[in-house]
Amino acid sequence: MHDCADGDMRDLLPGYVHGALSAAEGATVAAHLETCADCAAEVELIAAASRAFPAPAVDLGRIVKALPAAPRGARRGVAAGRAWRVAAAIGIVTIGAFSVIALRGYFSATPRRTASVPAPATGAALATTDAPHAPIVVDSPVHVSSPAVSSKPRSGISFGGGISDLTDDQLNTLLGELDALQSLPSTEPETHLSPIVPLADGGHNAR
Amino acid sequence: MDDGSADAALIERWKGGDQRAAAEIVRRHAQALARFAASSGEREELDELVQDTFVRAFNSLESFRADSTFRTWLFTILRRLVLDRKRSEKRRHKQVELDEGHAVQAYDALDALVADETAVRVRQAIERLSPLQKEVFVLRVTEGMAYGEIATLVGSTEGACRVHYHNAMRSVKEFLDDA
Repeated sequence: MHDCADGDMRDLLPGYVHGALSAAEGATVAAHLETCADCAAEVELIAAASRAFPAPAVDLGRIVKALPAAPRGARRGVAAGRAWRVAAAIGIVTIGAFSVIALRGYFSATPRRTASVPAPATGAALATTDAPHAPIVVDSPVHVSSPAVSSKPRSGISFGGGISDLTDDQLNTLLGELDALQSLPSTEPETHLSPIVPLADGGHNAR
Repeated sequence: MDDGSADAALIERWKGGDQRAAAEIVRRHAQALARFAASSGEREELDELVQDTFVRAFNSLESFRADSTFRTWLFTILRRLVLDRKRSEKRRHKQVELDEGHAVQAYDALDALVADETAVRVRQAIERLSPLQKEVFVLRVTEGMAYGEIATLVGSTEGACRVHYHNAMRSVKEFLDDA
């Protein structure tokens, strides 16, 4: 038995035996087999090889019974699971947001912040700090953002390193700028910004 | 609708709650899987082997990515099961490899099932191929699988499978010519 020189044609022969070729391919192979004894013999061999491995009997009913039940309603379950995950994510984000707001409120209530912002740019929001008896706790001048300052190039503070890399001046500048940011008008009154200080005149001059 | 599309449609029906789609999938592939298992040397509990294949496939249908056809996926699962079974048998019997004589003996019992002498001779020729050559050759001649499908199944390349097939064909022809 010899091999046909047309390798591509030989590659089509198993598909031809199993009826897996397109109509056009099947017609091409059939025409070739009319003139090629080697391929005709190979087709016979392939058919004999296929017969050489008959499919053993299997109990189809038993196999079907052993299969898991079709996932009726499984999609709804998956959707519900997704909904729970989304709800949990929203909850976590909400809690995180409230935490940030609370922390900002806490830090904005510290004396350092309330006493150190005389800059006109923040005047509107920090009007309460201009109260006559507001305590001053910062003993060194603090640079605060103002229109004039903002128009200058930035102080060069970079967060490429750690906060510990900053000098005292840079830290003060950073704190001041953070204070300026936090002094934006809030939707809630910030009554806690002015510490209660006993008035020397007993409050008679208070409006 | 080609075989792959038909399987995909049946899988969607099963996912939608239609158990009859599973029965149809089993009907389409169980015989071919049993034949492949038998050609790999498995003689006992073929039903169980094929059943395990389907159970595993259906239990992990969500992970089926359709990178290959569903048929290829089933054959891949079955092949792993057969290999696992052979490994455990080897461990149990401390048997390194079945020699050629044992392999031929194992097939003698099937000869009665094969009606014509030519087919018996062809199977004897196939039994003398290397395991990989035999696997590629059988999948190609009994199932008409494409080289790409076989390559996915046996973890090889299309080109390598083509070479294995043609070398196997040459060996089978030589065996038959010498007989």
